[in-house]
Amino acid sequence: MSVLYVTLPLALLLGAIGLFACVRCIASGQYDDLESPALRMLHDDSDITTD
Amino acid sequence: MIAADRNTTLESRLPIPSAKKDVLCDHCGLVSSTIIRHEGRSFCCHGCVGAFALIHQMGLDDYYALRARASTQRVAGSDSIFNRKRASLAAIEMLQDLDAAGVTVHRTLEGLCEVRLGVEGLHCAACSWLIERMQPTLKGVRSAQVRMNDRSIHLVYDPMETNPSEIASRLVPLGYLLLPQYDNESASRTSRHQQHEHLIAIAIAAFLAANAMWIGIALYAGEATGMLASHTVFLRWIGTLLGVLAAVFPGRVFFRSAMEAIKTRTAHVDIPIAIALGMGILGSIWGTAAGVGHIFFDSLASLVLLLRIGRYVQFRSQNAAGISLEKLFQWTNIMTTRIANDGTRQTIAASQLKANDVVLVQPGETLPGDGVVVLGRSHLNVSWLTGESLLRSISIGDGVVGGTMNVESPIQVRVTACGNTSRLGQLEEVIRNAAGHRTPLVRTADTIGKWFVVSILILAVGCWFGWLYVGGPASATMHTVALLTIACPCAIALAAPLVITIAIGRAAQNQIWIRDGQCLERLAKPGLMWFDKTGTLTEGNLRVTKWNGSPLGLHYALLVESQINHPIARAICEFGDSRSDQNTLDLKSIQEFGGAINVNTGWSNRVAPSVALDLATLHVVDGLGVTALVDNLQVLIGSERLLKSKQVFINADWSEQQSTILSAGKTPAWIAINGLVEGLFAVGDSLRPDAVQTIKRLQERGWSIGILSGDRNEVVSFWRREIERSGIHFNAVYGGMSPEQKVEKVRESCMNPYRPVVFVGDGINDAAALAVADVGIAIRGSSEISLRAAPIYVASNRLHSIERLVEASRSTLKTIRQCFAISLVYNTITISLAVVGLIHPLIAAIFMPISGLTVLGLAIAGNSFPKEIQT
Repeated sequence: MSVLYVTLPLALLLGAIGLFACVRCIASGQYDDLESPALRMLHDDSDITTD
Repeated sequence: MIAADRNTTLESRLPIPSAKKDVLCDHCGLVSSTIIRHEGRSFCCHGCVGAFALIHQMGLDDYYALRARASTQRVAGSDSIFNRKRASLAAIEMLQDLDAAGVTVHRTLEGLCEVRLGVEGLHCAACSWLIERMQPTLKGVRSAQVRMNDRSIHLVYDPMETNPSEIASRLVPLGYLLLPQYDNESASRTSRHQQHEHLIAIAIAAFLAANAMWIGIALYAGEATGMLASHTVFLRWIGTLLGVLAAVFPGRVFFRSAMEAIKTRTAHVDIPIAIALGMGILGSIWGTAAGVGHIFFDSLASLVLLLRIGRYVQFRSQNAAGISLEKLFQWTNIMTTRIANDGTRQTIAASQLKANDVVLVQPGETLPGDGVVVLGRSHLNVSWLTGESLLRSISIGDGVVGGTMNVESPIQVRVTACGNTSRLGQLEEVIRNAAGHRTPLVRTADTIGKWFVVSILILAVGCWFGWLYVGGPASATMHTVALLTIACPCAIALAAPLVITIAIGRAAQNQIWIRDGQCLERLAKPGLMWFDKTGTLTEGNLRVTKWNGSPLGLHYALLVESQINHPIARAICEFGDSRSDQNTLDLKSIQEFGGAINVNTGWSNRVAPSVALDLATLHVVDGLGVTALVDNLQVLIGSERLLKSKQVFINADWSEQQSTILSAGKTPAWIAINGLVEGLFAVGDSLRPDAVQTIKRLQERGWSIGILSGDRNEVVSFWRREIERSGIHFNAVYGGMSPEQKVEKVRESCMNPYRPVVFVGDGINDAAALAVADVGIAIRGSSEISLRAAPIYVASNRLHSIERLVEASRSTLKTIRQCFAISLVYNTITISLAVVGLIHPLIAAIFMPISGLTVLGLAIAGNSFPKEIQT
């Protein structure tokens, strides 16, 4: 019994889990607006005033 | 805007603090002559103090650090803070009853409310930061998420604790206006759903293609180095499974549209794709089951992936065009004040108006419908609707048209027609129809694609029967699959959308927003280009083009005019602001001058002139100008008639200057102090600095140029002479055109399908013509809202961009043709080899992506928007 029979389906399964997560993200609307999140990450929580 | 700030200040009857020039307001960043001190900072008005106090109190001082100075650009024209304040009050009132405003509120299971509202005044990252950071400080608001792409906010709030109008009123002091969002909810949901479908399909196809390719690589490697037969079989089955999944799930759209094309008997690129996919599936399964021949599951999966990406790109550009059309009509969703029979006032949406309602229209507000003035007299700015540059004076009994703006004093209007029956409503109808009935230009990609598909199908059938006769069904299938794989039309299907998408991206970097990719193809051939005059060839708003007079005169002119809401006054104030860098100089000379004048006028001995303008003495003489008493000086600003009526002597020198101004098509505005002429402004429209050069260059490229203007004939022919002086010849010039006539003219010229008709305009009066033309180009001007509807929107506010756009579309089309030529040559060679049986399906599968990659490389290398030389 070769290890290939276990690892290949396992690899595909792991990939499929990632794919499933990605599909969930799309369906929940995370990719609807690609503009504001890009700006939102610039907002620091910490104090950024220079003085 | 400055004028408005002062207005608000005066409105609240607060004393005006001491005057000092060139101080920047710490909140809005505008130069101001009045300063209000608060916590060691200076502000231009109490509004800004309030905004600062609010931001400071919430501990959000980072806003000022985050905000880019550059983004505090001023927008000239109607959008003054004064008008915004009034608009915001109306909006807050309207948000109190969301159902009446036509906004859908979703209720969650936890009893919270979810609503999407439009936000006005969003500019940059700092804005979204500020709004989202305010959320914890707002009682009852669970989440507030700003969406920059459609300028909207998603609010989740507890209806027991707060309501949208309360939230809106907290945001107003910061300069953000919440408005009901009038999106077509179901349409936007469908398009969002489609977008999800596309992305999910791409994700699945990418997953399958990547894995299929790895398995393919393992098999090729195994063939070269040797591999257990059982492993080969296993890998083949897995690979085939992945390929079949790719064809069945993300690839099923191709089968569907191929079926539809067959039903309607039209040649469609999807037919050979579907056949290739179908044969690929069958061939792979058969090959795997029989354990013979080569299989193509990897190319099958990657083919599906590439095609789905191409489809998504197409969907995006089409969808964007659709959304923009919806946006166009948002400006008609204005609010208005209805006066009931018993005199009570009520703010309602213009769409709820009925004929015979009486509405109150404040200065700065847009008329909600057609009607007759029943009370008050004022001036209307009709340039939005007709392009007429001068204000139209109206009084009781005059008919008015919806969409025009009241500029001077409040009026009451009895509505005769609103909504679909009004003139604006009918224009909307024209625009909606135009979008559906645009004469289609022949698309190169479609023509080539169709011929390609037909010839491949004939070849494939011939090939199959030929090899069936020569070598039996197995070799017939093998060679036909090789042919269909290698002749994959993906290069043809991808080339045009890819090149155009890249060009659109590059155009956006140059501040040209292209919604409809087809426009780029249409612009490549020279045709007829119509220009609107007001706001397109000319600047569109009144400006002081010349000033001749004493610094003292300018100083008092600014002081008085800043209190008045009139276009000429605004032009003079703007002129003063633009000279604010010289203000220190002016002040000095005023001081010197003041010293000198003291003797004559008995002016007090103060060194700097102070603002002691008594509002009670400010008097607007209708149609003539304004008189005021400042520092005990009698100040007159206005026309010659005003000065003459006050017995001001105008000498020959001044009169000559006035006639020069008049002959240049400008309006003279005098300033006289204590009976002496102190200066003369020339106020008028002026040509855009790059207008002449752009038209010249376009003509050199073979374009015919015409003017379609709503302004009066004399004014239009004046500007025509002005432009033709530089050796330009117009093919056609029409003045006095109503929006409907513009549409008619554009339609007439659209008859020839091989000659694109372009319309360049800037206002609502052009919106219909923009929609009817083969290519509508909107240029940023005074009425920005309507412009976003045009297929092409030039945000750089430079006519020069149009010339670059034409150039870019030519090179874009050239790149597309190059891609076609290369993939056709490539296909001809490989197809002939495949037909004669020299290409194995395996080799075909390897070569297939190469043609796609060549196209991709060419598309990226194509220089559709060369870097602009900064001048």
